[in-house]
Amino acid sequence: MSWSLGETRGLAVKAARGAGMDWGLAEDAGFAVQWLEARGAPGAAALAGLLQWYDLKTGELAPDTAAGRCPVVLGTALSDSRTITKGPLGNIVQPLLLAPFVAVADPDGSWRLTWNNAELKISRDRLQTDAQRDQLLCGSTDCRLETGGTVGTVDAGNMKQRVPDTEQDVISNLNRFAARTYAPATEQSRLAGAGAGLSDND
Amino acid sequence: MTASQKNLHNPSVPLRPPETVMRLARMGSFHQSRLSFMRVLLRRLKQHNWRFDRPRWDIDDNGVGVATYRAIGPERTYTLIAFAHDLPDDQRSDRVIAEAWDATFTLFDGEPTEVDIERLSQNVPLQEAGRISGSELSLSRANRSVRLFDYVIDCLARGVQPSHEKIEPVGYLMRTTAVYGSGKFGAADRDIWADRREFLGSFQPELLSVWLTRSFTLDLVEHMARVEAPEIAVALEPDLRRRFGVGNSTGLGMAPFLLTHPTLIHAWINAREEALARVRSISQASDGAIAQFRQLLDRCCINADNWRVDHADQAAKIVGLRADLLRLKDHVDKAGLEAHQPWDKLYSWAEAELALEGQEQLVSLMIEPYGECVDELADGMSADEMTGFQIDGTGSLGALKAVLSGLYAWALDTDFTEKDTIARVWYVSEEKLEPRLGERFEEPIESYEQPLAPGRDAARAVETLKEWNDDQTVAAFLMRHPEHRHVVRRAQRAIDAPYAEIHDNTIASVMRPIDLLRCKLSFFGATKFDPRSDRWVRITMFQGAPFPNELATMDPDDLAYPPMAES
Repeated sequence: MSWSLGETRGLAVKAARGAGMDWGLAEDAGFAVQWLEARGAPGAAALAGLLQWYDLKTGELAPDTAAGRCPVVLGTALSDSRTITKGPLGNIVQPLLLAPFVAVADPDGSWRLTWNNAELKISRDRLQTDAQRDQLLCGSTDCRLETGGTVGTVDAGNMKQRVPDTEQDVISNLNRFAARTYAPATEQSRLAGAGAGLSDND
Repeated sequence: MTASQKNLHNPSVPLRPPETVMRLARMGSFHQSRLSFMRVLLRRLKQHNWRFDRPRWDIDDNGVGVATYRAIGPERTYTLIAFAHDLPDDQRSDRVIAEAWDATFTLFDGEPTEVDIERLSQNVPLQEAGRISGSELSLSRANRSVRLFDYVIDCLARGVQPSHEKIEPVGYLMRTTAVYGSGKFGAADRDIWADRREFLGSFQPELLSVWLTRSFTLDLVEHMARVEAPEIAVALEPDLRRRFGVGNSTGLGMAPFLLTHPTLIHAWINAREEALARVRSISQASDGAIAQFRQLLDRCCINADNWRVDHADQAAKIVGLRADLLRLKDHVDKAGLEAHQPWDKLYSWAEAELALEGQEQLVSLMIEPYGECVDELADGMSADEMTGFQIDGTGSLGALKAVLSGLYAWALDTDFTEKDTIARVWYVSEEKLEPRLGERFEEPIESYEQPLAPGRDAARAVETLKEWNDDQTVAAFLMRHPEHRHVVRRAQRAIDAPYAEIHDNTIASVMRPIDLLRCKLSFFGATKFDPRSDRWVRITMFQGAPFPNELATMDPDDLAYPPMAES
């Protein structure tokens, strides 16, 4: 079993909303998940991790000393302003989710996003990293953004077209958040909310 | 192309403005046209000499089993896999909440192996409860017409043709109740096939699957008739066989589409409006075009006469349309079409004299004779919704305020505190994720509201912006007010896409979801819109169209309107 990128993005948007993000911000979360998954990185898993955290917080930009900033909030601040200043970013939850916004903020540049022993190279809408999954999925940690050391494009690797079967638990997790956006069914809503209210036979 | 047609790509008559076109009442009066996706598909399949066959027919005497239909093109082959089931009558429902159907389908990208068919037989009949893979392009299901299915089998089994009078008001043996594509339930994402020559435009794989499904429904009744009476049963005679299309039953699930795909909707409407502008700009109509238009107008009158519905509002609209078409005929007879820019004059007359149904029917009719000028527009009727997705926060709030008040001028004049203005809530029910439209002040659903009211959202953003200086940036504003990201994104996308936004309030108590459904369905190529309520409609697709084995020798465009002589 695998998932299409489109349905994964749709699920990510609903899940982010279910956890409490405004719809507009949830749309950006969906974009980030699709961008990462298309480049072989565990974006859906990172979002699932973020939403656990988001569930308990307000998601506002918090001071550096506080327990983590939301990468979607920080990321959209970068991509909206099309500006990145290099240096420390403070403590970010699931920092993998920052990468897509860095790519949007500076489409022609080369950047290195680092935390602990993970280094991601982001250049011309591509992503390259040697970090393993458990290094990429990081609860919350201090991060830095530096300009890329190497000239030229990052080796793109193969773009992916599907979210693989290994992500089944992650998808289930996101579905649980998404379910919060569905209204409980009632007899009244079943009769009035849709359909003809008549027999469907013609 | 004649001298008078040379300036078509810069039409002298301007396109109709969004304030005129993007009103729900007008969009809810659109008719199919030669730019409709169904017709684009058949023209293209014919032009590139596609071949069709049915490699597998394993349907038993109870009408249960599997069949495959192949479409073989110059570069690629596609296979519709049809699973026929034995559905008890009391389980038949068109609602999203149904769990079993008379037949289920998938369009396979290539030629399926036995392993593929086995896998799909475990999933396709489950529809939303199953999963398909990147090898499949669409997932759909269909239910029998209780009125016609058994009646037709009965006639054929007795060796006679069913009656035209019984067929025409229904126009199909089975109706699809959902056709999913573009990445849903595991299907291949759209961008995997969107650049294929055979699929340029919109919904081409889905409509290919519906067209092949049509063949399946006809093969099935003929099969069942033979099972019943092997010695006497006959097949449908070709002209009558063609009067069966595929029905489609559409509810609220489709309604949000026009709101959630603004760039795409702009592409569709822009193509239609460009086509209209080109034709209106023509300085002289040829004798051939005039003759063709007059004949189509007559056939259009037959279509209106055959269009029967129970829904009171639509019935009234049809009565009005029939009268308007007679007035149109009369006007054309008296005024003629020989004047300078005859189509522009005719449209202007209609805009003043006819109701919306008549006006939009005329739009479809006017572009019919001009395939040479307008058909090329069909290839551009697509869009990548991720283009223009990124918000540009570098601009000033002064510029943003101007964009919002321009695009949503109608909304800024609306009082969104009045109950009637915000009476509705679009939401998704946890019951099989069925989309529904509820009453904000009568049901506890407000917290589940989907973002489908851009007018209201724009009004809210404009209100908040009153406290911000014009020279501050959009990025600074959104950092403090993420609740407005959604509408700011919409507004920015619409700057280059004037037909992207609907100029009506989508949560008003008087809003009719059926207007959204009809607009989209008209672009599919649907005819015989049959509203069952203000949020549920039945249509017919491919009625009159050639079957695969007829495509090479028949003109699919000519068959879009009923034939002149009814047998």
